[in-house]
Amino acid sequence: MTLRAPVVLAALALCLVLAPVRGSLASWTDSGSVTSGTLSARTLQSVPLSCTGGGASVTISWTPSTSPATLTYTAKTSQSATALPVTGNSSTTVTTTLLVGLLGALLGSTVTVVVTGSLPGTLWVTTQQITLRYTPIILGAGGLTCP
Amino acid sequence: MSGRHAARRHAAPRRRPRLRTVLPALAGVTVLTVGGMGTYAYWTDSATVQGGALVSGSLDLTIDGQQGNPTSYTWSALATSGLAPGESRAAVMTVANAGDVPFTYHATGASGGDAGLRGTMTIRVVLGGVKVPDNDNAYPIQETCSGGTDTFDAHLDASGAVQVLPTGGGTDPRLAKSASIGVCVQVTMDSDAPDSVQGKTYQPSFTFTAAQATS
Repeated sequence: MTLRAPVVLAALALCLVLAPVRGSLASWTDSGSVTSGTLSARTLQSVPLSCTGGGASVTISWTPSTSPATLTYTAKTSQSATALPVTGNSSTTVTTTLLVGLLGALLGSTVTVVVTGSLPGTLWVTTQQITLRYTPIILGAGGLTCP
Repeated sequence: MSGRHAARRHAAPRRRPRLRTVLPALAGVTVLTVGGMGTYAYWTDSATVQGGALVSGSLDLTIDGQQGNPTSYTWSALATSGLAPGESRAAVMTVANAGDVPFTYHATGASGGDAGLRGTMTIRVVLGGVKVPDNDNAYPIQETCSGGTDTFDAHLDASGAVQVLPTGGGTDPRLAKSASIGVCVQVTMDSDAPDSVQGKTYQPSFTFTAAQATS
């Protein structure tokens, strides 16, 4: 029994000596970083609106954007959620008849037409607007006027 | 009795040499002989071999031939402008072992740029993959990675680097001395990316770490 203690202590000491030796076998390392060049999201082009006519109706036209694909256009007045009819994806006609329900139109004011182009299959849109002047038609005068 | 016998009787008596006399004599001869041998010089010659310089090996990971350390390598192959929802770009970077010892490696990824856009960009990493171009180059442009082994397919957050290679829990791939492998990266803008990310920028980054293969 008296011999066992020294033997155990010697074994422990040996382990302590050997353990750090194993830990010192560090392997080589290297690293490299890569930073990508910038990826930019596209911006849908807004198209200029043109206005023709006057009086009982005006026509607002635009050239559809085709970048990155042909956008699908809708139109409405900012005062109402009611959609205005779009013809050929490139124009809409605003008539005084369509504005009858608008309080501002009855009193004589301005009407803002918002044209929205949407990239099909996505949530992306681009908007453009134009403000028309409206005066009540009296004795054939007045109506819608392009800016 | 014979005469011969008589002569013999009268001859001087022959005495056997005594050891006391012989041994010193032998010792003297030996000393003289050994001493004499020392005078025979052997021919000798010598030549010095100049050892070549011992140069320690190296562990060297490169990406497209660039060190990427300490300055990050700007990988322009993936850069693009005009990315729209549903579109993707792909490019391959070459990871090579330019050192003297085999190593194992892994990679992490992170991203910078607009926070909103980061949340809509999906990164796909394909070890050993190749780029498949979109030949018609018309919207939606969809370049992809083909072949190889997918190791990551998710968004990269700005909150910190995430492991993109190998797949979580997988074993780090090994690259032998002078060997190389392509790592294809595909970036896709989710088709439901919000309108608010138009015109924003995004910049993914990757860090490769190699460790000496010990077996």
